Amino acid sequence: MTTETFSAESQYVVFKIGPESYGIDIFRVNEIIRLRPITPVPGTPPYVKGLVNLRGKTVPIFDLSERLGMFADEQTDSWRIVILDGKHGLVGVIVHQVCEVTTLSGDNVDAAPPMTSSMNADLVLGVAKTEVGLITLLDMDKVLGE
Amino acid sequence: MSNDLDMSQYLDLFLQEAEEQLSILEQETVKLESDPTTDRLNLIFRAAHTLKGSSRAMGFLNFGDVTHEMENVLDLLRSGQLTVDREVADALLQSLDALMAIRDQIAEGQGDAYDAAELTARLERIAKGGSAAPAASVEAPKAATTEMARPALESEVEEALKATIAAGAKVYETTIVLTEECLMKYVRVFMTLNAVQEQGEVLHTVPGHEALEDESFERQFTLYFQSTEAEADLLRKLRGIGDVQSLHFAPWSPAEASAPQPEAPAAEDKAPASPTAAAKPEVAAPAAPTTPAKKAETNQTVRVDVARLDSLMNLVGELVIDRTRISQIGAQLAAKYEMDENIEALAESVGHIHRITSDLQDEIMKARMLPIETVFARFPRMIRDLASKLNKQVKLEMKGGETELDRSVIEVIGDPLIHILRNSVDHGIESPERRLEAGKPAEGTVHLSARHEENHIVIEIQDDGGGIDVQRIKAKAIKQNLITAEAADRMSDKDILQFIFHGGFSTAEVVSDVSGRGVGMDIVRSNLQNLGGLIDLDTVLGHGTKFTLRLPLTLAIIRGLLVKVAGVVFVIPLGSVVETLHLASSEIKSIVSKEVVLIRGVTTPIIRLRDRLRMSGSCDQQAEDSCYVVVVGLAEKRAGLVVDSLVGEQEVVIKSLSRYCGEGAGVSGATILGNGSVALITDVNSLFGLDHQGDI
Repeated sequence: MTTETFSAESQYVVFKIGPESYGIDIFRVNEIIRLRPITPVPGTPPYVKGLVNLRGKTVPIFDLSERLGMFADEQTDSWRIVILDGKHGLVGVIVHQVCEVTTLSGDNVDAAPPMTSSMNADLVLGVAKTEVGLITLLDMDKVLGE
Repeated sequence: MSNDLDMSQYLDLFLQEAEEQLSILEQETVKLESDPTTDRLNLIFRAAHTLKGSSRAMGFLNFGDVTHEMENVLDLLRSGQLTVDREVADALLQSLDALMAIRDQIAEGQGDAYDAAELTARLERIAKGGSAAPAASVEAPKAATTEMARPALESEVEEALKATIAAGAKVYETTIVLTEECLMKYVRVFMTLNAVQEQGEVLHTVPGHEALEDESFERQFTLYFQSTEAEADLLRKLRGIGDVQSLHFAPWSPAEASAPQPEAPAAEDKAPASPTAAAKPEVAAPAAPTTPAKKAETNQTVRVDVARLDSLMNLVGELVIDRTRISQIGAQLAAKYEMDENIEALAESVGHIHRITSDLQDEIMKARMLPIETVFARFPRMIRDLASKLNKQVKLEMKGGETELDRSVIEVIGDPLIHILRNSVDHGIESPERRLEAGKPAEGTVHLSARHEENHIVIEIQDDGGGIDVQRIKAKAIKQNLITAEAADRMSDKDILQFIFHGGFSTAEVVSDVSGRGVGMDIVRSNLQNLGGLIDLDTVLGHGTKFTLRLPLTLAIIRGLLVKVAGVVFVIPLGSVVETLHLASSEIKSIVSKEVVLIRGVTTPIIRLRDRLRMSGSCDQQAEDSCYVVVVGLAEKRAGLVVDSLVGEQEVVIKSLSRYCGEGAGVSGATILGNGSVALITDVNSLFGLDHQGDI
């Protein structure tokens, strides 16, 4: 079902969570902002960290590492919030480091391998092989629970 | 081109106008029975007349016929040849219903298929029955219009026409009376203008051009124009125009036109009424001045899409946030660079922005305000119908209809009020016999009043009926297994009264189609809760019941009390806040594993926000031996919310919670504070709900 997604070349924003690299389709990315104070919202899943003020709008923030089932890391200066266009408006995901924007073609992408880590396989579109290593491409619709 | 003008583009306008005029008709007609003043008659007459004109223009002949017959009856009433009795009022109201039904049919695209024959016959009978003379007097003025009265010209116009003649041009005047069936008068006017302008120029029209375009003239209009075309050709062209009843065409000459006439026909746009008016000057007098006043009013208002107002409101909301932000930064800078001369300028500028945004916010809030009259307007009719259905005599007295509130509130307040009013008439007011027995006047009174109180609107509905029998409520509640007899005995009267807000609860022995099915009062309560409103109830057995509703003026911006819970700022809508207390921890007692506190003798349940909202952060400044309690009220319920500290009071713009946050339990929305951080708005409503789940 995902082959169509990779048939042509497309650009991905590559970022790190822990030591691993991940990619999100650049068309989904609205902007990247520095970490800012997040107001927790009661009664939400643990990976929903709360709301931030993005130029007068309140935007919900997901912790991607928690969503992917990984352990929380010590917060560093390189942490960023990637603001995405979600189906229900803007939504941000916390990543540990934004690396680059890269072009991937379908040839380089394999379907998700049987899961290696504790990560939830449903959330992965595929894995791209590049010179710098493997990049896990995320299905953001599923990540955001849509 | 003009013959096949697209009617559909006028349909919206027609429906809008019909809406307005019908609401005037409804309001005034109901009052007519008790208070038939000439002002009121004139108002009704004008509304009916306007409707007649516009419906006929649109080709809705049934609609037109009904309004026409109404007009005849109204005319007789105005001239005193008929008096307003029950039959007349009923007939007028029935006509009104018919008009509304037709309007709805038209709006649904079914056209004007309503069979109004019976109704028009009834109105006709009334008109004829009034006296033989009135029929003639209605007809007579009609005939008068077909006789062409020559309009008098203002002297400057006459001078201009004379000047044109002096310049060697030929000036003509033509007066055209359109047939009564003419649907689109302006089309005919337009064709006439086209005809004479082919080789000439229109110099002046009576009535004015605008009036012609608005079709706000009876059936007759006069054009003054110069033309180089032969007279015979002009005449032939003018004769070619359809829907013309009579045509007068002649070269214009000053001598002929200067015959002094006291009044220009343009001023009296209701030509048929004028002979009657002349006979009864006191009738005409109030009518004349109001017409131009009304015109002026319509010119000064603009219809604005509600969505546009909403988006303006949002923009201003963001501006307000940034304003607070800037003024905070300004204060910080001032502390840092005390000596800098720019600081003072900045402070000044910030102060100015502050004032302007406040004003802007106020103005936009006002633009969204509507008088509550728009809701009240339908009540007199409702009460009247209800009372006659129940064979009761009820008088509705309304006060404070001019009280304004936000349209978001107006939209939702109607249903609760209807329910309460229906209850007051059905359950509250007794039958005339019972009332007389009890030594009260046969006619019951329901007072409905609205007023502003700080940031709230208070609406009271008070009847002088039988009051609510607490014992009966208690018995019924026990019977319906809502409560055990022992528990009921322990409850205060006030608590027992709350059962009337319980879904499915009704004390009416007989279920009527008015009320008694027990679905009314719980709707009232849930609607009010959704609005962040409070409802209170007072009743004295034998003397009546009073409902007091307290509502916020707007739902877009609220004043909130800022509190801190586990290091996070929460906003509690000030409308729900009853009081704040600083209590020693020992004052919170535990009863059956539930925490309560005694506030002035009233046992109030305690909700610890930290636990309820499952906040895990550390509290920063809470001392163990004391705590802050915010007492909130929801409708008639009270609860004390335990918070870590009080931060302050602030106006906040409500932003809805993102769908990604799910149903944020206990939180109804978010807002952005002056320091740029996001704060959550507590949902007092759901806090009570959560509390009650634990109860049962």
